[in-house]
Amino acid sequence: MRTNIALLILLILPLALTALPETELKHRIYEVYRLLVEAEKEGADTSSAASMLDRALQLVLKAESRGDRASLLEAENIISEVESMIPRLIEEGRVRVIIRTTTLIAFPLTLLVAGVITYIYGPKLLWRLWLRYRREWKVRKR
Amino acid sequence: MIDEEVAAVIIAITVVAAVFSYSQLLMEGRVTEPFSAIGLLGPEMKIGGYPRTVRVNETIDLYLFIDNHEGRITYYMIKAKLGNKSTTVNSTIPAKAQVIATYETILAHGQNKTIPVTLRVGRPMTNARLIFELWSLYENNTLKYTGRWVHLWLNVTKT
Repeated sequence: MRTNIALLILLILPLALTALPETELKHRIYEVYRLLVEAEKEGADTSSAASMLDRALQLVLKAESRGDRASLLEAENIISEVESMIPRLIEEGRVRVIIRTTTLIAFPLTLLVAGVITYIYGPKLLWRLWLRYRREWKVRKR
Repeated sequence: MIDEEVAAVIIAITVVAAVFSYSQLLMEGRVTEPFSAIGLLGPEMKIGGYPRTVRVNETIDLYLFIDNHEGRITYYMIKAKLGNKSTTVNSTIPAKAQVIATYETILAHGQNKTIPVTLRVGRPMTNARLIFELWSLYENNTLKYTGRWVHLWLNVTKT
């Protein structure tokens, strides 16, 4: 008997949990939006997440106007998916920021080093090459 | 070997190219003038062909075009208001008129969206002003008027 009740609760519980009203889902969308704003500040690219969240928002709005429960469930799944994407987006953003900063420092530094090397060794190298290019040459008397 | 003048030109081009690419790298992703845009399109999703006269409760089909160049993800709310000749709306003050519909969308920087709009006016009016205002929802849960709006003049007749 107890097992049956426990099974019944387990069956009902997910349904009860997913039976979120539209306002609750809109609140979740807003919370995820806030997280995306924060993620963006850390360099995350939020384009795809924004499109997905907008899709969820439109589904909730559709459910609000037409009472479509299937749309609510789909919206909830999308919201959860976007929420789970955020840590990865932040990580990718941080890596992108590091690469960008490194490039910004390395680029002028490389130019500077290349300039100094050219200044010091350039003429020597140039004349060596000049000589090598002409080593087979013979001077002809006129 | 290479002529001195030719070498100078090559070096100059290289320096200009290096400075240009570095400036591009420096400016990448930076938005100097953030803005949002709203546009009203006719029933054929084009600029023009707007209805001028409609009957009471007749469906008005339009499209709203929203464009985000704020340099950040933005939660937009568009308020459709029904005003008249004396309704004031400008870039600082939103219209004090009845809200007849709201539309919401979330756009990342550089994204845009065309939203279908279906409205009805329930009473006869001369010089009715259908106003669409663009509002932004911020992280601190405040809704702010962006100062962008579009409007459509309509005559709503009984028959």
